[in-house]
Amino acid sequence: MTQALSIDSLRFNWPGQQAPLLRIEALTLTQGDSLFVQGASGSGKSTLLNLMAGVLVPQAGEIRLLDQPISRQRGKARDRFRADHIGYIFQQFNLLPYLSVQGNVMLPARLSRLRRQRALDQHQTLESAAAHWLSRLNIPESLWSRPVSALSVGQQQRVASARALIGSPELVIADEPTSALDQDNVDNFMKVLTEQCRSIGSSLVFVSHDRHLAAWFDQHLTLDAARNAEVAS
Amino acid sequence: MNWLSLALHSLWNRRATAILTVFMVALSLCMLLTVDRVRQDTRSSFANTLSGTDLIVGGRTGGLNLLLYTVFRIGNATNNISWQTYQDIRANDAVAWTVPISLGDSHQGFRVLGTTNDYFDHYQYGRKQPLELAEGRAFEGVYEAVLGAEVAETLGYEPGREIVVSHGLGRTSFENHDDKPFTVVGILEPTGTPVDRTLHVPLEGITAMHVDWQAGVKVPGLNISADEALERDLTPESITATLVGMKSRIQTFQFQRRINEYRQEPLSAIIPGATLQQLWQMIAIAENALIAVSAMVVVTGMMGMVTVILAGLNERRREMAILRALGARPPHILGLLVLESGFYGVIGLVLGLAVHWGLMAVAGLWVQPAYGIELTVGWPEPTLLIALAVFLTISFLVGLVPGWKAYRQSLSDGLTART
Ligand SMILES: Nc1ncnc2c1ncn2[C@@H]1O[C@H](COP(=O)(O)OP(=O)(O)O)[C@@H](O)[C@H]1O
Ligand SMILES: [Mg+2]
Repeated sequence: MTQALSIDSLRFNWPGQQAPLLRIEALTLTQGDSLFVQGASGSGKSTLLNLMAGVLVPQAGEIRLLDQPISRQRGKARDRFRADHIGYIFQQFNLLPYLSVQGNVMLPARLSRLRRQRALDQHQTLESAAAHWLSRLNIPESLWSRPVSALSVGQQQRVASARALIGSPELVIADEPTSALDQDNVDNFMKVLTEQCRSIGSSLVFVSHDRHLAAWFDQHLTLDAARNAEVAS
Repeated sequence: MNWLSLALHSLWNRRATAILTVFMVALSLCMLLTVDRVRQDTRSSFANTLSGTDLIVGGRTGGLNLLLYTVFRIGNATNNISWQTYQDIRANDAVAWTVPISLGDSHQGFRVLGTTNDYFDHYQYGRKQPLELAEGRAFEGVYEAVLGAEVAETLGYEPGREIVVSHGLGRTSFENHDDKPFTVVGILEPTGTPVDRTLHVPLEGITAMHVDWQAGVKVPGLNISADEALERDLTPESITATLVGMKSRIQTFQFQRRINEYRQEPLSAIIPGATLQQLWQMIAIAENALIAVSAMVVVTGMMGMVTVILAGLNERRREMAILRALGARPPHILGLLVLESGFYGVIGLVLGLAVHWGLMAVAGLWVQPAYGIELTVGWPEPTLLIALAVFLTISFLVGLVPGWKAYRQSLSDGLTART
């Protein structure tokens, strides 16, 4: 079975840091399973996601995505891989203000040929693919052609999820996407995001400092103060 | 959707700044284009004022001075040539025609030029265009005047109108030749040259006006009426200058040398085109200074544009991080900013050209009548076109400055821009 993610003897430190910020001996995530990454602020959660997304490379060790040694590939291949196989959700301000809601959702399919092809295979046009995901994430149709500034924060995060899911990437990575949401919105958001990832068999890697969210996930990773990662299942 | 259309959307999102920046670039280019065009138009207007005349002969003076007062009505003659000398020149075998010119009087600030009907036959301007009468006829009597188009229009004169010539060139001369009024008999078509601002009268008319004058002042107690003057011999003693047409242009240089070595009287003969060339050399210094200032303005505009892009980069860190998450490579980010700065260059140039053309068309409406310079609308001259191509190239290249900064920024920010 394909591993969505596997990490082996990873070491990473920013320039100027004495001890490694991240030290992860072994971690594997089966395709379709979800991973919760928890840790205090400054523990290196975002840094880890940047490594997974191929924006950073570790000083030692290896990261494999979909059985490919992403951390050993050249920059161009890593950027291509990210466009094709990863949907990324930020903490907030996910959307480009100069595109409509629908324009934002269609963007990954316009920038990656692979994701365009998958979206077209399932929905014939990019517009209907975007429409599909927007309705799955409960965005009222009246908002689709509006500028993103017309949306509430909760709606923006769901639009960002629709953008991460279009073209069915194997991996969805979310960096504290719920930290700007109130409690009702958090539950609603977690529900639709985990459901929809499951519906297309995508693995979800989700970062939060909120340990209550752990229940939504198959696997858990804690980045602790001693900067030694603990893996639990 | 590709990177180009994303870049344009992003720019549109910042349109207030973008539009001002485009205007800054456009106006700086417009200034350069306009200065260069006006320079060229001035030259060709000057060059178009007189054509078909091979030599201008006057009293001994600087060539430039002779050209300016005979053709452009700028400055004053210091020396005249005698009628006898004029007859000598006219009788020379190599000479096809001559047109005598006698200057020194004025009417309402417009200069009065004494000549013969040969003037209307031989004076040519532009591309060898002859003078045409719009109304009336050439001289038949002594006290008759043919007006340039602008004189007639400005003063509202029609044929049949009587006018009084003032002695000297001041606009408000107190000494008028009011005892010998002239009648307007003809009005010339507009030419766009100083001819339009000139009143033409027969040489005999000039002599008649001055029969009771001596050395520039009226002789006290001597009053000779207009009719009495006609009884006298009105052959002038001297004239200011003469235009000369050669039978064959090849003889021009040789004849010029002979005139300059004329024994009986010190003379100057100039070839109008060659003397105009001297004029250009003199004003080239001022022109070059203007062009240099305009070029500096364009450089300033370009620097302003880079500053605007650089200043916007910090606010756009999130945008860059989002693009990175969607698979943008750092070179894409660099390219985005190079495109943006090139876009300012291209649109600035297009707008600058449009404003420049509009300006020339509108300004031409009043520059032509006021200064006799015809402003034209058209493509810049080849050297300026090359300079503009260089400008466009540089406008893309300077995008590398903010591009490089954004490239570094996006490498260090990755997907976690904090702003
Ligand atoms: N671009 C960077 N350059 C240098 N140090 C960084 C950079 N980004 C993060 N760090 C450092 O790495 C540590 C972990 O940061 P981060 O991964 O953002 O933590 P978290 O997301 O868990 O709050 C912090 O000490 C931070 O100062
Ligand atoms: Mg973080």
